[in-house]
Amino acid sequence: MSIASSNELKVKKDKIEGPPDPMSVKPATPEEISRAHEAARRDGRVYGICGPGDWLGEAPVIDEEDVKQVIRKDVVVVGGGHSGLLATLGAVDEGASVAAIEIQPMDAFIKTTGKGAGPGGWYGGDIGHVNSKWLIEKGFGPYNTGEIVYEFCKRTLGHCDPDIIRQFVTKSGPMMDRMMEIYDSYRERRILEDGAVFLKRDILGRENVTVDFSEMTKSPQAITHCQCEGTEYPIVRGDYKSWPCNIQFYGHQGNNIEYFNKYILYYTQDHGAEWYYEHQAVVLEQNSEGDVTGVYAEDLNDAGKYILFRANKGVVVAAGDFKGDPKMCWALLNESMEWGERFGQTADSWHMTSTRSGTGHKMMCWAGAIMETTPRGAINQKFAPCGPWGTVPFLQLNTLGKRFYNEAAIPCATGIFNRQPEGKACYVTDKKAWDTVYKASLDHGAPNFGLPSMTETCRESFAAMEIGNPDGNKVFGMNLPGANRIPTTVYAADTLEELADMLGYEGAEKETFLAEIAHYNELCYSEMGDTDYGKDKDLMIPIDEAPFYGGKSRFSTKPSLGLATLAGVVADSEMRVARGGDKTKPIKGLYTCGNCLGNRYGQEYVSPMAGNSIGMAMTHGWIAGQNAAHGV
Amino acid sequence: MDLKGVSVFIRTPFALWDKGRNAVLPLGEPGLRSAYMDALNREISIRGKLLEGRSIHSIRVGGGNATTLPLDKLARMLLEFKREKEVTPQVELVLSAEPQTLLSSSLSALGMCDYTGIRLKALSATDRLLSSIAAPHTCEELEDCLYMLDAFRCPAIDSVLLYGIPGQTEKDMCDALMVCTALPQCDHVTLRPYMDGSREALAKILCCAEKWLTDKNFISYGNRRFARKGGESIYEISRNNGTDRIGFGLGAVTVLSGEQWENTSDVETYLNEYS
Repeated sequence: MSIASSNELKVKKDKIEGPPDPMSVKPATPEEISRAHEAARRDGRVYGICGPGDWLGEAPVIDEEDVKQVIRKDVVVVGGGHSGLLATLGAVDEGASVAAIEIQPMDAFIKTTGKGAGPGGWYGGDIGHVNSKWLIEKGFGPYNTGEIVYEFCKRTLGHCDPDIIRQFVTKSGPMMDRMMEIYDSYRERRILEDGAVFLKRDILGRENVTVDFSEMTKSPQAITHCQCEGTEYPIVRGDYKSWPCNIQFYGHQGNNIEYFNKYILYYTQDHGAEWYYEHQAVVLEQNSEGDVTGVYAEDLNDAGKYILFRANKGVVVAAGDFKGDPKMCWALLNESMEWGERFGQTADSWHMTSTRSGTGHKMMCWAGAIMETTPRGAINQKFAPCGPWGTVPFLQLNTLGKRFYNEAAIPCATGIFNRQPEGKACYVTDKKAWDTVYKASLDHGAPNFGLPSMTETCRESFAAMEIGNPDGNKVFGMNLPGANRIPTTVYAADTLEELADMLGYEGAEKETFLAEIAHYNELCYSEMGDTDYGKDKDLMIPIDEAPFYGGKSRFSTKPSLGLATLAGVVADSEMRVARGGDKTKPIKGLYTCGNCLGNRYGQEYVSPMAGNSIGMAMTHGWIAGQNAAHGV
Repeated sequence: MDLKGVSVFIRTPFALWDKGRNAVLPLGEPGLRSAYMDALNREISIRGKLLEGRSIHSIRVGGGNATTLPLDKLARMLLEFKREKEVTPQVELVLSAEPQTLLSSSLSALGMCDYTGIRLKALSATDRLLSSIAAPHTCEELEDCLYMLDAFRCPAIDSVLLYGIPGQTEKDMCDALMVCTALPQCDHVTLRPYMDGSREALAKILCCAEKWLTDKNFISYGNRRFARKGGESIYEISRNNGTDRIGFGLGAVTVLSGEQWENTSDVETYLNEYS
């Protein structure tokens, strides 16, 4: 039968019988699922995951003889980081009895010696959040929450659950209000404990000083915002929006978030929560119906002995990411794995192990959960060739001397950089450099105008540069998210030809370099602007006034796992873990949050506001704790 | 400075860069490093009796790159070591590391053992020179590492910098010092001669570095070590003074009451001895 007559027959059939009913698509049968599991096993994969290797293994079986104690609470929280802390608070606030289990010792979170040196338990410096009273009083908000939700969805290319995002956007403000309320209520204790902290050296270089850490929310300019007063938000760069929606805790040592978080911890303890430090959760307990009823945790000071924490209402798994498990990273971070393998790496190349090794993800998968589908990512953006001021939309050129994208479209950058030829890259600007710096967005890695002293230091060292030095000049930094004063090399030249030499462009590459800049200038002066890549017209500032500045970078497809992995298990917007990924069938008694929770970021971290990773972890933790307390 | 008591050296022989003065091992398979970690633990549990009745004032984990080992295990081992042995309240605990190994996961793991500093093999802050000595990191990676150390509030950083690298200028050395002392916690610099450097180059660059550091109020306290006031290494001072030191790990040296002995430098022998 010819194609034409076959189609004719199909049309006739549709007219008689109607098109196929989409509701008639039947769900997979248990036999089909079982066959799919077997096929994945034969392939050497975990079911439902395309990446190689059995990273999941089998759930450990705990011998009852090794259980030295059974503790029963309403809610058990696994993990004491940002999300676990807020899960504990959420449950306590709803009147639940709570046990919080944490692998690290307490003084990895809080120094009790009165000296302010470095814990790493709660790391990060910003809490991104929306429309808190604190932000609104300072003139930052209220903002349209729907607009922010949509911005996340756009930046993640839809690889998210908008309702999970919406929970963060709409509830992060009330969460911050609650945290502030608690923090304020501990004023006397704050003064007693933190009013006179000895530092060997503070962030300004003063030695043997005693400083006051008792007022962490009153640090001026503790919000990441634009340089110019009166700016309307959101600001739009490269068609992406960003908002000044965070609080930074830059105390006397750089980020000092623990001087804020500790009072939330104290509050939970003062209201009955029991914290079990140096205990490592290993496997969930389930009843015959598959409901989660508790968790086994090893006492690290009594190796081989376990406590069974039974939960009347629910277990919240807030155990952090899986960066410390190379096999998991290799199997789950698929794009990074492909780039890595093409770079000659193997799973062993990602050899850094740590306490954050995906234990939470595994426990939940053994209990019936499943990881979100690919793309699964990490906070591993490749930052643009940028100077000490951070990611700024200067002209950028690749190793061939060619321009290659809209430099203001920061969310597109990592993928584009990975697809550039391996080798050097640079940014180029001129005497008008600061015009562009002041127009940067508020994305992760952009200039941090929240700390004016940093801007001043950067500008001073910029002004002091030696023009014509082929080895460049060190200029102090000012970029997000840290109080980054580390000097970066900036080259300064009287001519573009000289700058090209300094940046390492020779021969044909140099000719291309110069030609691209000339063309870029033409676009800047043209009526239609950037007809090559579509950069915002007001960011198309010509490079035609000496001195000329530039900086080097390098494009490499060698992946970096960056700060943390972001992929988690499938759960619904109430943080209830979905059985087999079906959100209509939550696993009773099991909740998750933080970097154990999936469908938030897709391929990589997106930042419509600074600090949203911590803000999201805390907000979702708070919701999970509240829901667990009620057995929602 | 009260140096009564003993210092402890824990050898972690693996490293990414093999042109330093210590003989190091390449990373090899993760299984090898994990096995080494287990053997180290056993050696400490057996020979740790040497520390009975002695107060420990400093612990150095190095002779390679401590951060190549499974850090959750290493941090836990150090935490338990400090709890079980008699350590002074201000015990110094410093780990040697190379820039690319100081990631968020490694630093958050290290937070467990309450370390007091990182001895960072910075080497140089000029890409031209780093490339010439086949350093495994770039200047950008060094800067990223310092940023990470700052973000995780590493209490103190001792930067190890090379002088006398062929082609190294005084400005190169000054730039390296500037980068490696930019953060407030960068309170110590150790200068090491590059093994293939000419005597002339070595002298010239060393002189420049000494002047730069002195102008920035660093104090020289011996063997090309410089520290801000109060940043001197207890371990280094005690070692220079020949005070008692217990060494654990491959090729580690122990000095006790004037006697000295050394562990085997053969990996297989060491692993078998403590299997």
